[in-house]
Amino acid sequence: MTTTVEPRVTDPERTPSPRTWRIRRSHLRGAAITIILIPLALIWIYPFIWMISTSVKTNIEVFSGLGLFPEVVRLDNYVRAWREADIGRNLLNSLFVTGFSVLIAVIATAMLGYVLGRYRFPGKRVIIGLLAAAVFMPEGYTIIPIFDLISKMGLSDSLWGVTLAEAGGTHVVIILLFAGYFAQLPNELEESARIDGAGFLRIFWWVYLPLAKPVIATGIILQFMHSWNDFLLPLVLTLSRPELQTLAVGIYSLRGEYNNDWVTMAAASAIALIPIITLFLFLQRYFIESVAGALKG
Amino acid sequence: MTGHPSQLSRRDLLALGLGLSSVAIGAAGCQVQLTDDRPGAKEASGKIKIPDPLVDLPTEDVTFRYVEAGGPSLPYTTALFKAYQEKHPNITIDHQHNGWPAVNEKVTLGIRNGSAPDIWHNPAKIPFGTAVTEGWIQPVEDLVPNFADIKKEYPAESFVPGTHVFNDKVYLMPLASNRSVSQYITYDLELFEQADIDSERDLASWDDLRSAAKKLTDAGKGKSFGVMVPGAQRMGRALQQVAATAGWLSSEHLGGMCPKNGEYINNAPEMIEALEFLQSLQSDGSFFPGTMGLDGEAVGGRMPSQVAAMLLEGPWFFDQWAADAPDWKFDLIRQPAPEGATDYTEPYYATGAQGLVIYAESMYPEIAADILSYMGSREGQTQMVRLTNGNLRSVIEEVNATAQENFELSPPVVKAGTFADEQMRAAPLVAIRNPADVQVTLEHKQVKPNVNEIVQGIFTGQVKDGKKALQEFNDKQNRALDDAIAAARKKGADISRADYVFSNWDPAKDYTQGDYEDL
Repeated sequence: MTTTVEPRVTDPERTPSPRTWRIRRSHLRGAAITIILIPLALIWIYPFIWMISTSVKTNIEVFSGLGLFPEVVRLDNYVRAWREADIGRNLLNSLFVTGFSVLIAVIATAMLGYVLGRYRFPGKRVIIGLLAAAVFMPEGYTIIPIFDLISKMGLSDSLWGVTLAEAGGTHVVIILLFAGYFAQLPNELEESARIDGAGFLRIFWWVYLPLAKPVIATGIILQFMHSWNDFLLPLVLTLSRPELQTLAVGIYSLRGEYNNDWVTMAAASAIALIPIITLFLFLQRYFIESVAGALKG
Repeated sequence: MTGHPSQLSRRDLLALGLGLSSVAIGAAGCQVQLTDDRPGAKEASGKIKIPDPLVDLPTEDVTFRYVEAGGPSLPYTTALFKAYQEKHPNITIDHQHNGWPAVNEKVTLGIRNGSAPDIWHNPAKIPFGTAVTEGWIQPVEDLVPNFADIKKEYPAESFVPGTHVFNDKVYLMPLASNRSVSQYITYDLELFEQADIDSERDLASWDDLRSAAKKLTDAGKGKSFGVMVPGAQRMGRALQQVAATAGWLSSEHLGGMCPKNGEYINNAPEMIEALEFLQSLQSDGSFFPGTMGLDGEAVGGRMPSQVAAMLLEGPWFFDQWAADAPDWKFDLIRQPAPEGATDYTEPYYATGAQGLVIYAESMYPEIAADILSYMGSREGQTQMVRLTNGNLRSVIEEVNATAQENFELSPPVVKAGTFADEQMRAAPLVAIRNPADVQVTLEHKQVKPNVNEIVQGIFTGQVKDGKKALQEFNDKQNRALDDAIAAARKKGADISRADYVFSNWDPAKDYTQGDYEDL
């Protein structure tokens, strides 16, 4: 028995082709996702918008309702913030602490990640376990030992003390990102480099590290965010030396006993955000690549 | 993100964001202000003239560190240090004033590595006895050159064993008087007018206050409410202050101690009545929603926004309101008594406020001595009253009067001062009667949770039986004092609970030196 399948006759004018269907479906799905995500994104960034809005209000307007636009946009709050929070000096302190702590932390975590990712040695699992366990250690518990350590090193009166304290810590996420990234790179690179006479450090520095740009970018962003935004550690370490305060601590110093100048604090916070947003905009491509790579495994 | 025609580039996104913000600001009809025109933005006009030093000050460039909480003392200390640096250009005063928690941090951590400030205002969380016995502070009277004169001018309660004095040496000098009412009613004149409430006519008793709060809440139609209290910070103290209007034989200053019988009485009928009264305000819906989660600065900041018609708090916000909301109109009135009497009084320990101490390892004790010498002088005290607009009163009563000669203080502050004169009465101090009380103070462990936490729990529903909770708290307080006395006695202190009983105490009068002698 034979059957004949008659070709389905379609009117190209009326019925879209499968490709067109796919495109339309894709657009519809995109639109639906956008409609769902926009309110979520607005909720997510509302605190940021509120802070910006607060930074151009008066202190009374802060408490007088949910409106985001005041009658008068008080840009003088920014002028006052710059002057009273001594933002110029604190900005330089933050840049010093953050810059050097990023440098130290990224190099240290890259080396740790390289060894953990590419070599087998006894106790490797224990080290990874300890690093993971350190994630659960509240920062407050380590403040006093760090304070005493920095004091005993004679660095409590300098920005280097704050920088070292900021660069310290376990940085588990960055280490594991480096380890995962280095582990997936081919062994042939190392073998070729060895044949060419390169040693351990040269292979790491000239062969593997340049390939880890996405993780380096992620490490820079994560450490930058950590150091730039950190409050408790620099607060404690600069209590006796206000001229060493970082931006986060300088903003806190606008607090009073009964009277808080909320709008000036918000303006100072907005200024403090500019460098971190700028950095993210420059490095976001690498950052997303690295995180996506880490998720893919 | 780049290269695809239908996607936004980063640059486009930023431009779009900035453009939208500009359009939104323009559409909202906002003006833009670039200059600071707040009334409070002008610098305090001080008349401080620093006298020539009575001690040898450093001649090289030095930085001297002074740490305080800020608040009411700030206009004075700011003007003082400006004048001091002008007089002594080689001395830079590093003046920090970021609230009591910051003072605690700076002092306790600074002591760990020898970088504590040279002078600090001692916070309640650093017990005076501990600071002395641990060797953190040094005697003031050994350093300040004119201390004998200061001691003569200050009242006896300003230098009390265990509070200011240790081993017969004065370690702590109060900057100001603590004769101030920590809770009265600040009310919004416009909201009162809209609800047709007259403060004299309609706030005469607890029932009146309850009705007025309800009426104001109804008139507010969800936009404003009757009463706001800094419930997260001092709900227990707020309760004690209301109980004081009912004739309670203690106060928040005394922590619930009754000088008449030497017992804690946080379980007294007046406390229970006050609790029921405040609960009635809550059940009427007259409290500003969320008031139990607000501290002092949060309620102070909200009042000019007219979200509540009445605030149960003290005199801490006048300067802030004058600077931030000069057009907002308010007035003050004492809290009413349950049945309308206004002759109630409130006992307090007249030991002064803003206690100044000098770090034991200060590198510049001579500067500390010079500053304290001015602060404790009549001239220093006069300028303190004037520059703080009367928010700080001097421990030298005459100074409070002379400071107002040819000088007008802020009217609400003056009014709050009259409340203090009408209401506050000096209570007897055990340490004056028996200096061995110092040992008890050192042994005394504070009961946790404290009265603020317990009462906040009652109002947030976490504590179901308020009366029982207060009874248990009170029992623990009495036990803690008994234990402290027993521990002090074991170490040789000659003191007993009988020393806490002042049979000749009259709550309507200041307790005087003569009363101690009559015991």
